[in-house]
Amino acid sequence: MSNWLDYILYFFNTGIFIFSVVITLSYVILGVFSAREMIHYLHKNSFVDYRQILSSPFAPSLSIIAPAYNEALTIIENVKSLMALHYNNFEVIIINDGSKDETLQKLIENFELTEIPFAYNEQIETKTVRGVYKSNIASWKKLVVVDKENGGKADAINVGINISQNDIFACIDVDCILEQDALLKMVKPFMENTDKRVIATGGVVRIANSCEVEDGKISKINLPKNFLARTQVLEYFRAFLLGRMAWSRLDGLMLISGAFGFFDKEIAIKVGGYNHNTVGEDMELTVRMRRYMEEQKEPYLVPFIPDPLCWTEAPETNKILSRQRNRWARGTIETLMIHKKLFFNRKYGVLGLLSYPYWFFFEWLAPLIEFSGILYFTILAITGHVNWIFCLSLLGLVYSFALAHSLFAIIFEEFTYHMYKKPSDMIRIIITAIVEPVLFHTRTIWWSVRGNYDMFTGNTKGWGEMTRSGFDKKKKKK
Amino acid sequence: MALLSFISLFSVTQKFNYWIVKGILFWKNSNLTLKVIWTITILFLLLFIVFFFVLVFSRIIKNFEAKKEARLRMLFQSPFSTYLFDEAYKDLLIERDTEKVIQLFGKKNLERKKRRRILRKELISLHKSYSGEIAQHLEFLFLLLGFDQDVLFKLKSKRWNIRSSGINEAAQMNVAKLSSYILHQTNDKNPIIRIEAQVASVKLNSQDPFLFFGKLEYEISDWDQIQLHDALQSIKVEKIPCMDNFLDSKIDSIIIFALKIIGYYSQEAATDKVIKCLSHSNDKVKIQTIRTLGELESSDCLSVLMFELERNKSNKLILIETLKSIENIGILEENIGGIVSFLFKDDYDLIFYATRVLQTNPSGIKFLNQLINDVEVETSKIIKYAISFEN
Repeated sequence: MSNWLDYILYFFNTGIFIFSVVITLSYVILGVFSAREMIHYLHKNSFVDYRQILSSPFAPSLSIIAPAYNEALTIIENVKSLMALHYNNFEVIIINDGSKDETLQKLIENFELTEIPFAYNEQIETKTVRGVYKSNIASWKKLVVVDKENGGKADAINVGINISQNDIFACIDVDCILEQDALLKMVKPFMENTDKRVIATGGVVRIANSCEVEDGKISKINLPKNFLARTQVLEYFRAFLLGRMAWSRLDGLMLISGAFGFFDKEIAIKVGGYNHNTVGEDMELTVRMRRYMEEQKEPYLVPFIPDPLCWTEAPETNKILSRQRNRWARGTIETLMIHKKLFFNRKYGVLGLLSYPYWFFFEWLAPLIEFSGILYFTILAITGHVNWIFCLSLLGLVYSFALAHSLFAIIFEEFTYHMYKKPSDMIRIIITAIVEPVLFHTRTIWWSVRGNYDMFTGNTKGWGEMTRSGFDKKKKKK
Repeated sequence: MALLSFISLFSVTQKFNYWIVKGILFWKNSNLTLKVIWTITILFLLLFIVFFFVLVFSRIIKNFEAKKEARLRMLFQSPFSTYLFDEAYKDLLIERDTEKVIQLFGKKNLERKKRRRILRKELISLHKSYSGEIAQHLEFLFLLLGFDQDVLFKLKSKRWNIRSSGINEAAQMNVAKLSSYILHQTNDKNPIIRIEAQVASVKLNSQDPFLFFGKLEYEISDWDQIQLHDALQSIKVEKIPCMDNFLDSKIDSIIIFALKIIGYYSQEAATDKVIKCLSHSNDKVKIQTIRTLGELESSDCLSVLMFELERNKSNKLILIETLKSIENIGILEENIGGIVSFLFKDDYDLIFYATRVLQTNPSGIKFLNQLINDVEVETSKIIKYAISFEN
């Protein structure tokens, strides 16, 4: 018994310290890799004329797949916005995933859709497709609307994959706002490589709260007024600009956001499409596709595009944000469990030796370790066994690192895309960086722990409802 | 009053000294782990402060530079419009009066590095908005102001991004005298320099735009091909060379690109050589050959493609591409029999594309209408969908 206690004490005294050092070092290394990749990307694309893709007969055709569930309020504007994207040859497939509201009726009325005699090619097994609709108006010919039984986001996208006519498909959240040249920029990596097959590309997702939106486009970029949303801006800087860029350089990207990702259809079908038994279907598909390529010994790439191309509304209340983080935690665990074979498996190269262990230790276990550390500290404090000098010093170290790391991410943004131009925005984001480790990070740890608890107790709630206040509403407020 | 402040200052300093001494003693008495933690903490805090000042000053400098650049751009607008539209400068092409131009744009602006760079950038950006005679005038101005030397300087840089931007500028401003220099870089090991040089070569050597293909040792990506095709569009269609010479290249992507160009510009003279590519060992070349034959739309191509259907019965990808190409050309009555067999295969895509092919012939349509009720429900659904399908 006393042996066990010794081990636990040793773990908390030394193990957590070593864990913190390793995680800190990994952030520093990722930051360096990210900076190198970003500089290379910006130099490489500094004089690229994306209009060449627009006018070229040799550019690949695309299918944009956007699942919609109870989106009647905004669906028309969202579809119009997708249809207005700059690309020569693409189709927009809207999947009505058994909406209970008037999503389908609104689409039919507004785009003058009629049901076509459709033969469903079920390459990936899905729920029943009730009908396929196309427009009679020439300007909406690119639009395909599919009505199906409710089966969740993954199932809806799988229907879209089955129906799409093109070799590359883009998976997009219907309520996201895309930059006009988003497709041009995202499709380029698919054409760039001669020795490796690009199986997917991921893009940066930016926070649109407090931004001004006009005709389905972001017309003015503002830093969110809401603290939670503003903190997520900072979080996204760190995750996308410092994290995923580095993983892209290391060729170890494991997650392409479900809100905005492009995939090679052939490979996606070969691996069986999106998995509807997980809430982290975006990450799971990316890992499965990579795993398949590794097993087939086919050279491949999963690049990441840092340009700000996709804007989304971030949760502004604790309730909704906690649901999102709970889902992310469950999605991570599910994916890691499904693909546990990858863990330190040399056969899978960077994926098995670096990416998977990184996600295992630093994305899944880190919040749990942090939480148990806080718990351990509380027990010691109550029993009067805290070495306050050591404890405060360690806290100071972690806090100072968090500050430096966040400011590095802000500098990164400033020197690359410089989206927040107002000086007041800069000051507010720095203040957010100062208070975030205490006021926000602690909450994300708790939500992640709850996600773990829910996952292992079987208390899974699926996706959970994501209430959005809507971009248009914001504009009127102004 | 002064004495009072001196005393208070003295006491503050004394207090400060007291804390300093206490701090040093505390440091001395602490163990190594704590010392390491404090040192790293101080380093991170210093880093935070440095980052903060970098952020603030970079913004101040950036704003200042942007304002200055905007002011200079405004300043250059007047000499540009004088040069382009003033009668007094109309004969400059014949006179080649460098002094007159230098005077117009201001000696100071051409001597100072930053101003010169902005002027060059402005000239290039202006050139993008014009074509024809005005664009030619601007290209001439580029040479008169000696910017070709700046480009040459960039081309000699060791940094790949500067070199490739130099090549890009040379191509945009049509600096023909640098073409031989650029041609050497078409086989550079850096892919960005390589494609920029290739694009520039196409633009600058309209007589033989793909001269570099002969010495190229690297594959050209699909993106490179788009850029090369775009560059080719700056050449008059009648001057575009027949690409059949490149169909026996050792580099497969060059063959694919040549096939694409042959198809796009309907270079029918290359048909025989294109047909030979059907026996290429690389499936990608084979598929592009089939697509090109579909674009050439001749009856020879149709019979070859019909034969390919027979020859590649086990390769679904090639069968589908062949059916798509045949659909593009359209079938004759005698070909219907060869297509119909695909309607009875247990494969969605083959049924779909075979139906599309049959629809290109009135007898085929008649046949489909008769067949539609005699086949299985699923097949009938696919046929109906293919008939109603619009690209």
